[in-house]
Amino acid sequence: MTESLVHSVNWNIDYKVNLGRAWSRFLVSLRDDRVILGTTCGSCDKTYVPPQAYCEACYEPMDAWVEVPPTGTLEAATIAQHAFQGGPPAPYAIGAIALDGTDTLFIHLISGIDLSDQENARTLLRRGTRVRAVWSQERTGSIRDIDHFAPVG
Amino acid sequence: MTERIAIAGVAAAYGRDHPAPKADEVVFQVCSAALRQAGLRGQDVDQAMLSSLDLYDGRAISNGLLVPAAGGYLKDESRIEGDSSLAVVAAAANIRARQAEVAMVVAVSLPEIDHEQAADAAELRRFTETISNYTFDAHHARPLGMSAGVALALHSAHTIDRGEMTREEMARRAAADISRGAKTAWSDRRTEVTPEEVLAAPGLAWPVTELMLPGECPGVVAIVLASEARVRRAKGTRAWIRGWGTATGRHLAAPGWLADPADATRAAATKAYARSGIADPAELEVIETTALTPALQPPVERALGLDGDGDPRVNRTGGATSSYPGLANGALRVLKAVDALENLGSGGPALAAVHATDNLMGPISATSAVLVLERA
Amino acid sequence: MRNHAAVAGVGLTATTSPGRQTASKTELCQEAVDRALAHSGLRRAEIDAVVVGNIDGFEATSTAGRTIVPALGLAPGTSVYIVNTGGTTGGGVFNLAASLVRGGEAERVLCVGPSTFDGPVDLQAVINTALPVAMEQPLGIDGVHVGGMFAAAYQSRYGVADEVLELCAAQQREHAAKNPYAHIRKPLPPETAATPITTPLTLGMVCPVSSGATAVVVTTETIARRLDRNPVVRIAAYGSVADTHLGTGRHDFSSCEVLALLADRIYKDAGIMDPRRELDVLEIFSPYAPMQLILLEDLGMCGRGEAPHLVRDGSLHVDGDLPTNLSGGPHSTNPGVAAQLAPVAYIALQLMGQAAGGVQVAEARRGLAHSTGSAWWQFHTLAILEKTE
Repeated sequence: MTESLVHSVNWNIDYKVNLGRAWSRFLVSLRDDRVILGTTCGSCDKTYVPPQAYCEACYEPMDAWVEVPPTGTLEAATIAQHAFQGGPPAPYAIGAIALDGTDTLFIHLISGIDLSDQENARTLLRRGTRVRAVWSQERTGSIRDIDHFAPVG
Repeated sequence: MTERIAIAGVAAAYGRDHPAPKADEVVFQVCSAALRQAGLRGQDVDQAMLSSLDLYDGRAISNGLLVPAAGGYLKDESRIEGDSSLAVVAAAANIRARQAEVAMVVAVSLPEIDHEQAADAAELRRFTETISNYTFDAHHARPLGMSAGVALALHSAHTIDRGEMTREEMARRAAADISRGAKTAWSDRRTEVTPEEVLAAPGLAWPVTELMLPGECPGVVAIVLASEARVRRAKGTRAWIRGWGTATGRHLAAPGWLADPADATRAAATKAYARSGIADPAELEVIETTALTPALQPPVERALGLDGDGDPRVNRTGGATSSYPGLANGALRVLKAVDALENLGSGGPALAAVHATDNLMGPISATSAVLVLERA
Repeated sequence: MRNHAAVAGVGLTATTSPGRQTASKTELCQEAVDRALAHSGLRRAEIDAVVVGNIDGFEATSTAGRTIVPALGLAPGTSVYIVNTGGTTGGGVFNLAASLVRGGEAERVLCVGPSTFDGPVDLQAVINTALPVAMEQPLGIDGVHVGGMFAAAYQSRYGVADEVLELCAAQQREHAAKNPYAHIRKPLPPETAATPITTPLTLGMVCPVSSGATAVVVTTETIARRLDRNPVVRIAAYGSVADTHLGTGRHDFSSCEVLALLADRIYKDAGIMDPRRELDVLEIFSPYAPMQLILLEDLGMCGRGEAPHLVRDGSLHVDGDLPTNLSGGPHSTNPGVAAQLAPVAYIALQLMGQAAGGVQVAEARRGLAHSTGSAWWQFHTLAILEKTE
């Protein structure tokens, strides 16, 4: 049998991704005001966080902006035990949060508890747990301007 | 002949007039405009059929962001990674297969790069040439620096060597296209140029200069397609698609792509004409072609059954040399043909042919589509 | 005159891990295509269109289908369509082929599902780039976390024990053990299987990265009948559905709500009133084993929260009343687009009475093939295949 070769192949492309009107306003508000903004659809009355420029269900533009509180209820969470190339160090927890006053589930990191004890952490991050946003010290206009959400008593 | 498909609305946004958009926001605006023309709403869309390329969009599975913006939320969806003419064909096949009554075809070519860079054809080409290089196979052609531009230059050099066209003639054709398109709507190259200026433009690879290559620009084009039954309850039909044909060209190592680069166009046109009941291309009043360089104009036009020498029906607004919004090219050519048919005024049937192909690898392994449109 | 579309032949290659694979992506596709053509009885030159899938960013070449198709030896000019919808690409390839045939555009269409996951050094890092830019990508979310989130939501909503999730994995691996085309055909050692990945998923519940290819030939029903090689398998209904892009748009991670909508539509098209009774065999896309529970519920096979019973009472085995993933599914074999097209191939083989490895379902007449993918299972496809007399 002939030798079987393997080549390393690498792509190197730099992008600058436009975030558009809705996400720009959302992230600027996190950065400058520590305020979470959503948009409400004038047709179906659903509130989206992160905001969108249009309601995909009604297929109508959305331009009614609302401020939502930095608190919500955990719908589900998963505690990651392994890091991937370029990702956060493990362990870390990702949660789906029903933010108060919204009709969507906001995805963010959950922290503020000991994640190394996986079984205990699972109990602490069960469905229905109330959580609150913890702001980053240095805010740059990124989703990580909210550092994470933490369970509140 | 098979049943016709209605083009109920066509809308576009592209070029330098659209600063800092988020791709899905632009898609929503353009699709909304196309739906308004059709007198339809987002909820009427049964299927979103996209044409886009992940490597332009800066994310894997980029249609994930775009489908809901195209009316695809809770609906059927798919995405063709190829020229948008194929997305039109795929959506039309879905309508004929009774998988949809209304399909939103949206072509998105908004490279996620710096704005100044995207607004400049030569700068944009630096990016698309890189992506093109990544489209050639990783182990043979890519390390050699193959790209769409290089392939087009090889073909142009071959054309000169065979005595089929001089470099001066290439410059004359490019200047004529750019100047003809310069003052029209939807053009990207907006300044008239002389053949001398074409020759003096920066070179990409001999004998091709920047101004002989497609006028690369960002763009989004949306086309609302509908079945004949459904469109009766819409606002109207802008044009009908009577028939079409597709075929794919030869690959890099296959003999023939240099000597006969339009064989796929010929096969696609033969199918499209037969299915549309066209016996003689003289019946066509409007012809939009996609010749990626001046050297490709005669073979493409001959493949479409024309004489290949300055037919006044061809590319009245300058064709791909005037403006070329990446994978949205085919949809743009449809838009131009629909506009042209409408501008002919009323009175009897009028037919248009649209030929489109992608420029991901120049003339290599490219799928060509020919669509025959009919005035509504 | 429109004609039904039918599956005339299928071709699967053996699968293995990327590290053990010695064939190239193109060679694997050639092998799958050769098998599918031989199975259908069609000659290569008779193919009039090819639909091929790829997933850019997961592969060394962009729109890799363009470099694969020229090596398949088809007639010059054969039309090539490249589909990329991420995790539903294989299903999308098949759906487009069905429409090209039913819509009268082509009569003999070759579907190619290449091996697309075996290139990246860190596949999860690549999957992360398919999550919403700026909002969810920076949170370190990849494929397993999406799988973990759904499983966690399901588990907490219905009070499901970890043992049930483990049983989902064990059953699919048990099925894979009999499938000559499967990749992981032996259970992992218990302590390896128990390695935590992301709660509640452990290594034993997570799919491998596999290398292999799948091809399917779709023709008009008339041609399939004339070929007379295999029982004719009609494509009775097919379609896809899209959810919102952001995970944020979901209301509930214990269900793939959009799949239930798609299923309603497809069952109506196929004239199915009671899917549990009227479908004889299922191949559903659950790379993370517990997803099976959610998918079965969305497909209307039982009520919400009741799927654990189907797993526990053996319903999903070859001799059960709802044979599901007898191939072992993507949980045991996941070569990307090839795995997404494979459900169609396995269902067609079942209906033709040609299932390999002793898992033929007696008198299988109608089956369902599913695929899903993109961020948070944004897209799903379904196809219902039916043996015609």
